[in-house]
Amino acid sequence: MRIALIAALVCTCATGAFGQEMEKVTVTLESGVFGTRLPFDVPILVEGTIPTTVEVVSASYALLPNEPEALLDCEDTSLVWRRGGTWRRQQGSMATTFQLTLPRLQANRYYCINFSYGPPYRNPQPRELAAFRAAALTAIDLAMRPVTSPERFDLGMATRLRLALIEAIERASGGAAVEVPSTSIFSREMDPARTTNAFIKGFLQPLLSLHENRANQIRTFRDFLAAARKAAGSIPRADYDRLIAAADAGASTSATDREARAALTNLRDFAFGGTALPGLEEDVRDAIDATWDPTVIDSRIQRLSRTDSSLALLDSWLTALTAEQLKPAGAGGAAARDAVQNGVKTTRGLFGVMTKALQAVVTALTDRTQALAKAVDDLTLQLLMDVKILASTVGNFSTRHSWYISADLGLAYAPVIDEIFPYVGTNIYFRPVNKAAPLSSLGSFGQTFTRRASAMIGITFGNSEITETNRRAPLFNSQYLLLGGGFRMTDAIRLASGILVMKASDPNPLVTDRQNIEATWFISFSFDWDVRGTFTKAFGFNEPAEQPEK
Amino acid sequence: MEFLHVSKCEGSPAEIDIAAADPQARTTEIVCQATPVGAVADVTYTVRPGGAVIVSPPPGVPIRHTVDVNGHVKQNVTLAPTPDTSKIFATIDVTFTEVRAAGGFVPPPQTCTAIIRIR
Repeated sequence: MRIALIAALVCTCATGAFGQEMEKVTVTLESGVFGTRLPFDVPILVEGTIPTTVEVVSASYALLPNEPEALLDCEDTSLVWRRGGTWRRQQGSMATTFQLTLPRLQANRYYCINFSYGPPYRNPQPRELAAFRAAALTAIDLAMRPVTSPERFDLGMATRLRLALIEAIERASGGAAVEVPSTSIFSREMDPARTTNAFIKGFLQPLLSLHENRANQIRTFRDFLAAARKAAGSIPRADYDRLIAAADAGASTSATDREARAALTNLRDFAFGGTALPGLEEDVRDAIDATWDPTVIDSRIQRLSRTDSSLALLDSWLTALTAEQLKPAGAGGAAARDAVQNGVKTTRGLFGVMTKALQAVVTALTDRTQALAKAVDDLTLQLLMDVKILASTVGNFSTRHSWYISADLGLAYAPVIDEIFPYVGTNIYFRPVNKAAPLSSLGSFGQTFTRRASAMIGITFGNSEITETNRRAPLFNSQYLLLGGGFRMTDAIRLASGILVMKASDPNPLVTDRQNIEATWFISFSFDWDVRGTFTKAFGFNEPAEQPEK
Repeated sequence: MEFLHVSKCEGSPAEIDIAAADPQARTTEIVCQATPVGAVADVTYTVRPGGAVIVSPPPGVPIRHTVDVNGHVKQNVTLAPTPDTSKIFATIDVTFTEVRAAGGFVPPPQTCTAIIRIR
């Protein structure tokens, strides 16, 4: 009988009844809860449901401080997040369930588990969203400024912009890595050429059109500025001087004459001296190209409007010039007036186009601001939704006691009395132990010492060999008590030692009415109670069928 | 004296199927907004190098247009078919040269651009 028992137990160990396991837990992302507490010391398989639109789900986790006063705050920025597993939808799959893994967690601790999933980004944290939006706006704005036409938005620009946006997301999410499909523009693995196309087609095409239009309008402004100078310069300088002389004559008494003189002088200097008229300040330093603020262009339009008004006044003054007023202009005064008046009309017409071009630039810049915001909105939709869930490996009383206590079946040998006897033992650990976690996966013997060592209390059974009339008797009815300690050598086998407590008769055969409590030492090896199924099979016993839960 | 000003150009539709055999699928109407109504201009349509090729109207050949009562200048542009859809847009430059009475001042030409996505 004993030999069969030992053989059965050895076979049990050889077949590896305690293999590496993952414990499955379910999570509901919508409500942000786990179905159960999280297991410890074993990898965790997390399962949940998702809409078919979700392409990727990834998990990260952070250990919360183990202090009585610590707040269980998953938004705490000092948390250190570590990456867990990632689930990605297979192409064409319509799965509504995801599974991913989390590594081993510590026992009796609180954790924050963050699930990132998407697209779309349906419920962003306001702080993260604001941070990302601000950073993305700046990144796109700066990246796009040099792009005056679609051809100039090349691979390098797309890549730099993509990296800037990825970093913006990572900063906004507290440094956590971004988990997205490899085809997302937020993926570092995304093919650069495809990124460029996706950027332009998906987000930047309206911006590029506006940039193109802005560049065209600036070119029109410059071309017409040159044309205006040419038109003004087509009038002989002497004609300007004649009319200036005419205006000068009345300047002392007439404000209109003074204004006409100023307008004539400015126009002449604009045509021949290269000086600027208000609103037409020279663009030689690319002032307009460097301007992205529409109010600055607006200001230029106002100045140009004042210049146009002065030319309008000049035109009226020229029309109203009398023969008397023209006398200071000399013999060619009338012809000069006609030439200048014609030139003023042409110049004002060109000013009109320049004003419209500047207004179109303002429109393009204003629309650009809106297009930038729209591009950021569209990009935001590509981001992932984050759900942070507070979870714990802390059990209730009924689960906790099972982590500290285990039972086993063993055979002990007491050398002093030279007896081998079976027993049932209860092992009391000094820390939580998850028997589902293989010891070999948790480190060396030394590293797993606290998971191996336990105190033991047990009782013998089937112990007729120990009992000896007038010498040894069971401590209780028919059982002897075992006290000791042991180590799990493998997941299921334990070596233990301790004392066998018994009642002992007095060695003097004449004393029969007195029994002492005595002990003798033993060594034993035992097997975890959970392998009892193997015993029952080995010996042909049937385990009781499990009763369905009511 | 009011000169022609072209404010912007767009393609309608903004995306065409460049690989299609049907010319209609490769055609977009370029609509430019311009002032004043009634201004007359010779307009040329060209695609920037490296992109698609225009088959109609002949690239670079001016077509005389008048700004309509809605302030529009419209022209159907058909691109040549190509199986190469690696390009994601065709940039069509529309250049307006205003036609004015002989002896009058001829203002500089103006260009506006329509960006058409290629499917």
